[in-house]
Amino acid sequence: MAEVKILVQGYAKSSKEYELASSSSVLIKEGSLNIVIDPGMNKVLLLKALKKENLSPEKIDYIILTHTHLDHSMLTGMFNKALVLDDTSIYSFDGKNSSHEGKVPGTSIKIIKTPGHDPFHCSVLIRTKKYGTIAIAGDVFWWPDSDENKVKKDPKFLIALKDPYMKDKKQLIESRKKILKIADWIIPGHGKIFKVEK
Amino acid sequence: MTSIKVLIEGYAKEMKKGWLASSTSCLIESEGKKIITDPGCNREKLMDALKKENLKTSDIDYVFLSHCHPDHILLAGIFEKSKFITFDTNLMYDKDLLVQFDKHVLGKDIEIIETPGHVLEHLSLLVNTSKGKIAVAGDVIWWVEGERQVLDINQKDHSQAKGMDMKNLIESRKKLLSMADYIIPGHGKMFKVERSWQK
Repeated sequence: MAEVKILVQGYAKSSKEYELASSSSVLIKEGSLNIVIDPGMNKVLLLKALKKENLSPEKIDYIILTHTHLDHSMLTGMFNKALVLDDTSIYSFDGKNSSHEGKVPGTSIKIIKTPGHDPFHCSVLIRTKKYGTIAIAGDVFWWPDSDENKVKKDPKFLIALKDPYMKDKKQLIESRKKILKIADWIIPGHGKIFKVEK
Repeated sequence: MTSIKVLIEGYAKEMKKGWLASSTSCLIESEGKKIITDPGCNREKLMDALKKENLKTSDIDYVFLSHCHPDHILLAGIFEKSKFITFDTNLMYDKDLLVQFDKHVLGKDIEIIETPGHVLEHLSLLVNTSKGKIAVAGDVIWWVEGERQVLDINQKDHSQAKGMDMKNLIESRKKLLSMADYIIPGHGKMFKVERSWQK
């Protein structure tokens, strides 16, 4: 059965002049495969977390990008042995790409389309013994650090969360409903993992 | 003086299942800074090209990304000391710090231009060199392998990706043609802009 580990808890802080952000980065181990979702852009934190797991970048077999905003995708190039998956395709570092079937090949890890924040956004679903289905939701759900304690974890509140960067509100709401229905736990793009109140 | 060199000529070949594609990558040198445009996704080609220039990944000061498609950006993260100029709500990324940028942040000879159409968030560069003004177009203009590379501003976009907008794309093409003497496409060969196209 798969093991899920949060390598970096995504964060987002802002002031008038700048933002400071990197995405939640998650490791899934299934069988002999190591999969990283959204490597983000904080190299120091990511490498430290991988080391703790006795892993280095060349031990990672797949990278999944929930979307290609750089605060989620920047460090992808570091993983020189990995294949890269997005919402529809699988890429290798020799320039080849082809479509995938909504799964990481050879695993039970599902990739579902969740547009709205970005038209090419996807989320990752994985069943675990201890926590049931975990959704790695990318920016379908995210909030700035300053709102961490204000965000209520009931579906109504979560569906109505504000997203200043969203591209399509209707799609985003549909994607949120979809994930809330399937998942027992959700790892947001920026913020703490939470249990879905059913 | 500012110079620009095509390190990798971008290619795009449609296969039975999927594509074989990586973007055109350029090296720009200006005001003592080294800039890589669209590093693409072919690691071997990029590393070979850097080696030929006697450059290490840590020598690059800025990486310019025209838009978010993986065939243009997957290798961005190998430049460990770079700042990143992107499409993404026009923010510059410096490690985990995001700041807004000015259109001349790369130097007085380099202008960052908004060129939506291929996707909504798309940027190009106009570089003023001793040979004239050279546009790094990204996928405002690109060709698939084997296609005759003749410019037609109304030509359809081969990828038809979500967010593609033909009207915007034609406007962006017109904009680049009116400003540039040479154009470096996202996939395909650099070409000279004929004055007669600018009407």
